[in-house]
Amino acid sequence: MSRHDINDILEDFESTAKTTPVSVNICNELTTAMINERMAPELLPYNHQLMAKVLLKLSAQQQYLLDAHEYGDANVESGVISSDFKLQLMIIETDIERVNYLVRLYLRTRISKLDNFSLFYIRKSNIELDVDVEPETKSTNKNAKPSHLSDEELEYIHNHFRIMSDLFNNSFLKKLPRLLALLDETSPESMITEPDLNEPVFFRSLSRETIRIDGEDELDIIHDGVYVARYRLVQSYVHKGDIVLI
Amino acid sequence: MVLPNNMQKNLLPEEINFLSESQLITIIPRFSMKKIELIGSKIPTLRAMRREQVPLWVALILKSQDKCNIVPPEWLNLIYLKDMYEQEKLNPLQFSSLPYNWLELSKILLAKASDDVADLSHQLRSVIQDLREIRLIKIKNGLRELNEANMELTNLSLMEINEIRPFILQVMGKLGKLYEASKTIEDEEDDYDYE
Repeated sequence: MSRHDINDILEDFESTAKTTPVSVNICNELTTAMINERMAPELLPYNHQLMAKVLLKLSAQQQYLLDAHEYGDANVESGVISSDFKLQLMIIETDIERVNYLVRLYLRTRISKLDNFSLFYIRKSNIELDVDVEPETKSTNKNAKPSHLSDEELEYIHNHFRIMSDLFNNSFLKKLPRLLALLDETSPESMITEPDLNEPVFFRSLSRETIRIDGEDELDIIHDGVYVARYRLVQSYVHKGDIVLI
Repeated sequence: MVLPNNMQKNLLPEEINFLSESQLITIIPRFSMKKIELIGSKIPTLRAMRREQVPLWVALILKSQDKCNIVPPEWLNLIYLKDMYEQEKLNPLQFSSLPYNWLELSKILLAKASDDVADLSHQLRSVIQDLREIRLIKIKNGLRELNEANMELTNLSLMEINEIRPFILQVMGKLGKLYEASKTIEDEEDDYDYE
């Protein structure tokens, strides 16, 4: 067998190896979550699993970096430390910074939505809590359905609302008649700002099959196609992950 | 503000660049390095002259230290791009299928690794500019068809989408509201007829 053939076989082998599905990359997942959050008019459910995984890995890498720096400092005089070692640390550090940035973007986007729709999501989380408490088995139920907000976000939203309503009360509401001083009146018209699900969004389909949307605005969504349509139409597919916003 | 207004419902061009830097690209290392575990991905063990795939940002770090050559993606050459340009001209109603981040990727590669690209970089730049312009014209023509319900933009890259996004979102939002309003007026008129 000539050398050329062997190379061909090797190349064939490599190309088949490449087509096998790679393990799910949490960085890509985080990027998708961030962009979805950024583009969706509503607050999407907090991605508990993913965030726990990412934060765990992040702190592990940071610890590794600290240890490695210590090791480097201890051995700097003996000449064991090569420039390659420094390069590796630099790559790891860059990686940490990149993931950090994504995490920050994700959380910032969520907080900006919580700011805009604080009352709406306070009510929503209260309803969630009520449902959770009703069954007697509280401890098992806690893990049953992940909440829409993370614990930190829940704390933030309540504090934020308290500060805002204190400010409003002290600055002008106390001078108004009690009848007009409510912040959460719902009749005749709701004064709670809600996310507008009719806003148009840009999205891309990941589903292999064509997604058909019936009703008033008919739309066939083919694989990998890019479209603009109202968020309401694709909402359920975004939650499932068949469609990603872009 | 947690998130400034210009970052809401849109991405900054810098962010799009950042996103495309996590794409995998083939490099030919000039040195050896043990594998590194990263968050989410890993860099395989590098051996001199052996092709490996790494994220673009790693490739750029190595490249800046002259430790590797970047293998440009197969679409980044004069012949292919010129062919795409011809296709753009032939189908005035469709966009040719360039990769999802061709604009950012070609820009980064031409800026940081122009010596690895086989063709002359000024010729490549001019073809890329031509392609960009012809696609922009198509996008602008497409805007005439803008309606309140939906729109198809298959094969547009993220950067191109991002450029037109604020305009389209605003107009479609307004059209949607007008449409709703006209519908309720019609309904009211219908009710009136029956009485």
